Amino acid sequence: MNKKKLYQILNYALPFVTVIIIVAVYAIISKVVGIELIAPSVGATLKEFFALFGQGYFYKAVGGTLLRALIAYVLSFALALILAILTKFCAPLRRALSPIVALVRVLPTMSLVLLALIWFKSFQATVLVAFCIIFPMLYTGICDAIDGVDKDLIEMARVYGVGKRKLVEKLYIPQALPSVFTSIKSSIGLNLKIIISAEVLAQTADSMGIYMQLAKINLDTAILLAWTIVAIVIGGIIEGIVSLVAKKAVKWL
Amino acid sequence: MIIKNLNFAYRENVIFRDLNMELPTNGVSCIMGGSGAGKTTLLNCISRQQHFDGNIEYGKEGASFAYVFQQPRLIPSMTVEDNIKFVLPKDLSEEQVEERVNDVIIKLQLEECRKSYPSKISGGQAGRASLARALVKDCDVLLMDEPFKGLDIKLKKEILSLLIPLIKQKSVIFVTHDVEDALAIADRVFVFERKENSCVIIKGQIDIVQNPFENTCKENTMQYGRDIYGEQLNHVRKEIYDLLTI
Repeated sequence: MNKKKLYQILNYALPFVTVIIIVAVYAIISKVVGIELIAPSVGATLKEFFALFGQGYFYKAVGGTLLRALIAYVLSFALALILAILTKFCAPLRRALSPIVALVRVLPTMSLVLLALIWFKSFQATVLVAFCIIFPMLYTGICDAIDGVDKDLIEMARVYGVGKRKLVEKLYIPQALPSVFTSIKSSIGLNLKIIISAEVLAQTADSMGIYMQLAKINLDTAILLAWTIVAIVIGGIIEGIVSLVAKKAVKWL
Repeated sequence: MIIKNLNFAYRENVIFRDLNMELPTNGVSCIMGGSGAGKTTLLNCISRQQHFDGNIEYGKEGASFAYVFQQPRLIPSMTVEDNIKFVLPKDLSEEQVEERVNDVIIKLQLEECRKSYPSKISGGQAGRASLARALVKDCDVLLMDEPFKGLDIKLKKEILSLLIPLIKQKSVIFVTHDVEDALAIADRVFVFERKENSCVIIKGQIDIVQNPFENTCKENTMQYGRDIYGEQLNHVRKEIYDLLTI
């Protein structure tokens, strides 16, 4: 086997090896602790994990959480994109928005959740919390992506009298898109995490968060871990899809 | 092209104060001078990339420009061919676009890399692609800012020999530090000078448009770097060197 082939195999195998090591370390901890209530065994956790797929509420909860995550993300992305484009051509608007973005960015998540719960119903509250955290990240990321477009190339296009539409289509989009996808990749997983956290606090019906909270109240740690694995798997799938789309889009452009 | 009372400053740093000059509408005007002498700034003012006070008359309303920058400035996500097409106006038919692009690609010997991306081509090919992009456009003024900077002498010679016949009928403003480049390409040479904390002055102007070597220009260019220009051209060279060094 040559070095290149070995490197390729290792490249694919190493992430699995890491997962196996983490599971093995947890299995040892579970064995050492010896209390199912605190650190349930790998077998018990996996049993609960697979059992979830047979429950009707599981699909409702996953669907509900994903719907809220999707709404929050689409809203955040759409507004971030629109405002980033507008502020690119209107510097005063960017300056006017900067304190709002800075404020939203530093606002403690817990105060945000509690205030949202006072003002809104739990569904809207979870979406609002995710929006308030994801929007500034995406807005800043998209602004940076647009600002990062090579100024020399823009200058070149202007001297040659290239039209605005062509400039956007052929220069801004292909140059900014890889950075925009980087922002999406780094925020989409976080979005799911925030939604689940907000669901726990807001006691949102038909959500992964509430079933995690119920498992905690019932001291059913294996179920809590099973839901955690579900969240990790869903987050991994979403990030995988985004990476694939990013790869295809960048290639296509 | 007439430049009247051009004033330009980078904040407190005055570059041009009431600069006046006349550039021939046909032929190659070469701007020379030391670093920071305002050569590139002048090109940027002419191409309206910089806001300035004063007046530049282009001899035509809405003059169009092509610009060969120091760096090729090719769009990395586009092939060489698409980079050349990028600057063409949208009112051209597909056939016209193809015809023009093919023409410059053949003239500048870019057939081999027309479908390649800028990251996959050599420095010489990138330089030629940048020239092709400038030449494909039917512009009123062609601006060239040290287009051979960083190229080795062999590449420079190769590009110059391709370039000279293509730009003879155009209005070209060419910035360079290299006297030999100027001698190979220019019809008129302006030497700029800018002393510390003062504005740019035109130290000298040398017309070489009527020089007896025009017919042998290509041959001379092919012999680029060698002292075969003859007495008269040696005299012009000395004059430029004197203006640049004294």
